[in-house]
Amino acid sequence: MDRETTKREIKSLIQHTIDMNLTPDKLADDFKIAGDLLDSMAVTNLILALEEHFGFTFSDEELSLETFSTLESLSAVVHRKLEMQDV
Amino acid sequence: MFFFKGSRVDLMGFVHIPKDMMRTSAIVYCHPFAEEKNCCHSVTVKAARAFARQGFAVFRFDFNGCGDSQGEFNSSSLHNWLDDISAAISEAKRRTRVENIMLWGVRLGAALAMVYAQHHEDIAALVLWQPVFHFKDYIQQFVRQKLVSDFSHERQSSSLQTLLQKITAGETVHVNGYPLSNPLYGSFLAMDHDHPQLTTRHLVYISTISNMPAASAHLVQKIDQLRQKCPSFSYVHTVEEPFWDRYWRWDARRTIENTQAWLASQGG
Repeated sequence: MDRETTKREIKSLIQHTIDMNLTPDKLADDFKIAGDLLDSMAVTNLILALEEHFGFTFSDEELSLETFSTLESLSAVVHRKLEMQDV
Repeated sequence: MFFFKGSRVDLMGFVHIPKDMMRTSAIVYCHPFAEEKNCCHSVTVKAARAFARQGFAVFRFDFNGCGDSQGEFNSSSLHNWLDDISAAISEAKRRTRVENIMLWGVRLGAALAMVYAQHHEDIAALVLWQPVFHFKDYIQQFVRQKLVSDFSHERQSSSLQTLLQKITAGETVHVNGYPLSNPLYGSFLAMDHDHPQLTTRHLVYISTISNMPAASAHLVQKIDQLRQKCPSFSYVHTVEEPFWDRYWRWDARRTIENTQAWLASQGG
C-alpha cells in the first residue's frame, strides 16, 4: 500500500471513529490528533480502530506524542509498520 | 429515584412504569463502565422511556461505586456488580410486580448481563448493545487511555506493562479521573477465565453501532460464535454515531427503534 493510500484510509478511520464531521478535506497533513481537540478516549478508540483495520499492534514506544502529533506523523508510522509487515 | 439494598451498599434505582398497558416482561438495564456510562446516559434514558411507552417497565440502577450509588469505584469488582444485578432484579420484581425479566446492557453492562444470564436460566431475554466480549482486553484498553492522556499533555508516561504491573502490585492508577487498583482490575482478568459460553435458551438480541456499514470483523466473529450457540438469536448493525464514547451525542434514534421493533416482535 502506498503512502497516500495509507493516509486516505487513516482519514476515513478518523472520520468514522471520531467524528463524521471530520471529512477528509478537513484533515490536512498538519491536523493535530493528540493534545489538541481530541480527548484521550477518542484517541484511544482511534488506536484500536487502526490496529483492527491494519492488523498490527502499536508498541509502547510508538504510543507517543511524536506518533500521534499530526496526521502526517501518524501516517508515517503506520506506513512504516505496514511495510515491515510485507517483508 | 430511590435507593435499595445492593450486594454491599445501597444502590440508586429508577423505574419507568408504563402509563397504560403493562406487559408481562420488565427490563433491567445494566450500564457501561466508567466514562462510557456518563456518555450514554442521555441515550439510554431516552431508550428506557421509549421501551416504557411500549408497555415495558424499565428498571435502571447504578452499580456500587458508580453514579449515585454508594460505595467506592476502586473497591468494586465485577463479581460485586453481578450480585448487584441480582439485587436489582429482585427490586424490579418487587416494584413492578412483573416476574419475567429481560436484561438490557450496553458495552460492559452487556457483558455482565451475559455472564449473569449464563447462571440464571430464568432471565427471559438479553438485549445487548455493542457488547464487550473480552474483559481483559477491555480493561487494558481502558488503561491505555492513561498513556494517551499522559503523552497528549506531554507528561512523562509509563509503558502499558508498567502500569499494569503497578496495579497488580497494589498501586492505584488514575485513568481519566477513575481510580483503578487491583480488586477491580483483577476481577476483569478473573472473569475471562470463566467467561460465559452462552449456550442457553435465552432470547438474544444484539445491536452493534458504528458509522461504518458493518461492525468490525473482530466483533462480527465474536457475534457469529455466539449465534452458533443460541437458538433464538437476532443481530442488527445500525449505522449511527457510537454514543458511549462521545459527550456530544445525545440520541441513537435508529438503534432505539430497531430494539423497539425486536421487543414488539417478542410479544408479552
